[in-house]
Amino acid sequence: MNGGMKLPRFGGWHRFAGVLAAITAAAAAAGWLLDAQAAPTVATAVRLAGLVAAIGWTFFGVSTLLGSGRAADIGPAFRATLLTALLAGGSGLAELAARQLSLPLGVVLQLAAAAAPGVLLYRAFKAAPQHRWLATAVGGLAGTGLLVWFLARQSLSAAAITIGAVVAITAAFLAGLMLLRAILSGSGWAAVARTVVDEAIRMRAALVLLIVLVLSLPLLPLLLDSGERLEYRVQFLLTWALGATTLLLGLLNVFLGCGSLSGDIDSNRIHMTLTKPLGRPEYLLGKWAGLVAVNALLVVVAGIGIYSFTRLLALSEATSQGDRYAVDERVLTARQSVPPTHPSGDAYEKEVEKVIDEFEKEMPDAFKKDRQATRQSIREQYWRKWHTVFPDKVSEYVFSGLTHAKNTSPIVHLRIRPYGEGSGLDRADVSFALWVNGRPYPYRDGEHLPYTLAGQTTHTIDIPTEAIDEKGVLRLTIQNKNLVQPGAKLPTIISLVPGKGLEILEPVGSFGQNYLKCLFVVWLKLAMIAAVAVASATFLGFPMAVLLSLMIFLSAFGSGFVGDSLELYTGMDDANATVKDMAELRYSSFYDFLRQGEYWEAFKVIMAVVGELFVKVIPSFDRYDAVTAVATGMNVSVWTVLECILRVGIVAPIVLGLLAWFCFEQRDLVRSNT
Amino acid sequence: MISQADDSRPVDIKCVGVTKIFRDFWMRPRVRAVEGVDLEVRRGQVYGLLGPNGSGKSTTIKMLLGLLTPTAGRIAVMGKRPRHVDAKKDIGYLPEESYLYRFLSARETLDYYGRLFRIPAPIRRERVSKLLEMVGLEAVEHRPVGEFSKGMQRRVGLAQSLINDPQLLILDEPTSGMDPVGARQIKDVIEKLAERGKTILLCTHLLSDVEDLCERVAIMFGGKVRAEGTCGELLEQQEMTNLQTDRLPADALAEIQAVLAKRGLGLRSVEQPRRRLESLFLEIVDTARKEGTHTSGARSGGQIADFLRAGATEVGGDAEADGEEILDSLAAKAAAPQPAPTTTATAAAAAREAVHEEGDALADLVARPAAPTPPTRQPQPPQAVEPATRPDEDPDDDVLASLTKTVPATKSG
Repeated sequence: MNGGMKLPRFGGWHRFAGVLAAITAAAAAAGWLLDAQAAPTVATAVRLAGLVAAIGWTFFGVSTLLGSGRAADIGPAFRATLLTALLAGGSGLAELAARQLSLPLGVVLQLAAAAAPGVLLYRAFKAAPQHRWLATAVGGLAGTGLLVWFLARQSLSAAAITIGAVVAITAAFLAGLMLLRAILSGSGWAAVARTVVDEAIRMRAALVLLIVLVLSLPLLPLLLDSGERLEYRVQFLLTWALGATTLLLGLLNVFLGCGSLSGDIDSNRIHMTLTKPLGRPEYLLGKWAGLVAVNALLVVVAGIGIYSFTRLLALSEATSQGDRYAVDERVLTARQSVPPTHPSGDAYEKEVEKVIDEFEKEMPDAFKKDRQATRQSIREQYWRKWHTVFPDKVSEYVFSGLTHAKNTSPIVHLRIRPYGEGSGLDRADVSFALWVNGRPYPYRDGEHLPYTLAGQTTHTIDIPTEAIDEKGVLRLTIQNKNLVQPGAKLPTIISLVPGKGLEILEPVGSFGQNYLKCLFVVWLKLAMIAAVAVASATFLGFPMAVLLSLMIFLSAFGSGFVGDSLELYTGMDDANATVKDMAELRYSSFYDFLRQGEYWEAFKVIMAVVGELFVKVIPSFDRYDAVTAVATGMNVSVWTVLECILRVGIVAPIVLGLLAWFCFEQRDLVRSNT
Repeated sequence: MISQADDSRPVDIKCVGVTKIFRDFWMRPRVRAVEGVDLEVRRGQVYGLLGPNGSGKSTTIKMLLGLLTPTAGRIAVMGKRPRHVDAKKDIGYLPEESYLYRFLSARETLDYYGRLFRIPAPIRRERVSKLLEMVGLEAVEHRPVGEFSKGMQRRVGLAQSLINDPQLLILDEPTSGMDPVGARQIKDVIEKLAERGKTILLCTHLLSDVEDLCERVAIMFGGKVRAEGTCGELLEQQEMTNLQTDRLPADALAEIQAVLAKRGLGLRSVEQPRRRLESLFLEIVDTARKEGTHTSGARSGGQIADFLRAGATEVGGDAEADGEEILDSLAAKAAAPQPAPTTTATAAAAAREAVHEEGDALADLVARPAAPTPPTRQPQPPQAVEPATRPDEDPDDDVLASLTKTVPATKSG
């Protein structure tokens, strides 16, 4: 023991230990005697009373020893011994209670024993606040670890894993924060960045966000019916958890980024900073770097939590073998899309030109009005024809480059989204027969079984990779087997949307690697939002900076939705139009509406132009939608990541940084009334 | 007295025709805060910038620090443009309010500013500890600054202004928000730094502070400099003479009056000299401290941090020899018969008297190996009086050391 130890006021630790032993022994002896007298109820009550008295005396004694402010008098070895005894004793008592009395009582006692070290260490370090939270966290982690062990021994696995995951997230957060502070311990911009990190943590913003995420994660799967396919539940968890993380962290970046810089300017704290040898660009860099660092910490911590809970959910019972297969092979994996090899080359071009010439002979007037547009339209129609299987006709589709899949996986997935057209029915079913490399597929019991699939719906068909030839080529032949359906006038034409209508999905990586790439992409997007927030605050006050940043963030986040909305708003489909075409179209529309006196329609055209320019300037996050990819088991390609790094992670922040630098250099940092 | 024009010391601050016009969102001129200001502050001067509220003092300072861009005119600080990063390496700035990050502790705050100066970590840690001790905040160094009183925050602000051992110290209302003990300490720090050759620009509207400390002053009003010069040049009343004697009986007084009348001179006033309220306050605080009254606020600071005692090397000369001169001057002050103090020096004298420390601090100073810088300030005008009752005068260091015994500031309501 430490030579500097002083005795507690209530009589000394010898007396404390003696009384504790006496209480425990008396309760045990009395209980044994009462059991022998066939009074089990009274015996239980006496044991329970003894337990409560022992625990109460222990807490009182240790609290007095450590919380009296005389912690400095008591050696660390003694304190550690007391806390260890408390943990072990409390856990032992809880175990005893769970076995001999009742499980709920044992859980309560274990909870108390788990909480005690954290509480006592918090009180003990009152005089040293700089170490207080760390000591409390260490004590809490130790106690919670024992709690998890206790729950596991009592076969409460789900609770144990949940609490363990929360503890792991907390530990990761604390460790990450310490690492971050160590990395940002330099001078100049690093000092500014570290202040931003401290601001995020100590002003509770990041902590509240993290707590919301951590608490909501275990609840998400409960929102779905447990009878729902496990595949859908896992996809739901991934989509919503990652999406919510991106959204919440984006909002954090907006408010923290704008608030940190605006707050420094409005409160004149910036006077104390920029009167030091720190250039204004370096100051801005520090603000941005601090936000990026906070994002990295929170993305990692949230990512650990989401991954843990996804794996935990995936261990649940599936509704069927097919459901289990779907979870393992179609969701928790990374697949790459291989489209059919489109016809090209001289032969194809000759064929297309021949068709165009025939059209020109038959319909010369159409070519006189706009020859180029008519030729393009015919090309597109011919292209679509290649993706169409007419009734009782056959179309062949060749997929190349599947050598890797042949060598590494037993199965590839054919994903098909057929449209039934021409029958006059909505959402007509489609029937077709499939050949794989010239062989009927599937072929069972001497019969070539056709497929009958719902139209306008995506379906997945497993194809064994042994069907792929040595050159990595897979040939699929589709024969339209549709007959005239009841209520229809004509047999259904099978139409496949170019790109997503027919594709082979081959496994190229693991879910874990794909998930990491997704987190990295999310982090890059948040870095861009951080740059937007800091740049906005260089020339706007806090409210306007937040408004502008939110507009940009939400536009980037929902760029696909915004684009579709603009088309609906104006009624103009610009999917394949060039910029020049769009400008001419907008101008002619605006002029026509004005001439006709339809001023509201004319105003809509102007708003559409403003909206389109806004959307085109801002990088579209939809283009780098890694969350949907991960949730659907699709690979986030390296090229996507590299492009995202370039456009979202480098170019956008640099452009925004230059804008911010220009604005900030011109700005007087003092109001006229100071 | 060397005139500003004949002074050969380098110019640390030079303003020529500086004007600042604040404009509104539509770029219309709204406030003409500073107009045609010419200023020159030489190395080692304590320069006072006086003026009522709204006279343009703080605006001028902010232009010197690069926080504002002048509408017209030129500014050079340490020979460089104010916005130049290198110009700020040797500048310490204490703003009129201490604008600090509320969530950082006192230690973290100083460490942050130290890192902005790129001070190596070991040196930074040591300086932070010494500065916290100097301003009396070592006991609360880990508390968030947001929980501090205004005075305690000002102390943190003072400490951060000294973290880089600046050559040029710009103080904007330095005693604002400070209790008399803290205000006295700041004045002592200013004097100490001035003795070590630091250049100090003191912006204030407290005239007593300026009279106590400044070598030269500029008085601003309406954004213009209305008067500029040394205190002596500006304050001397050539037409009168002050005498201070032992208490005079009525007949002696009548005799003196008769003598003056014979010469055609009038006796304008006869009154008992009064000690300054500041000296009374410090005496009471010192007594309370000796009685051991507990406080949870800031304690009075310790000695001035030793890294600040290293003199201005630009001033030149052998540091050890110069240090001997200081010691000699301190010893000479203690030995020489002292003339009667005027009201301007009473506060300093009374403060030293009130917080007299036992023990020979002069001997302690002699024992230290590092010598301070030579005094580079202009000699005081004749009216700057040595304390009257200082038979056992202590060196200036005793003042700061003894402030550890005074009652510290408490959080105001």
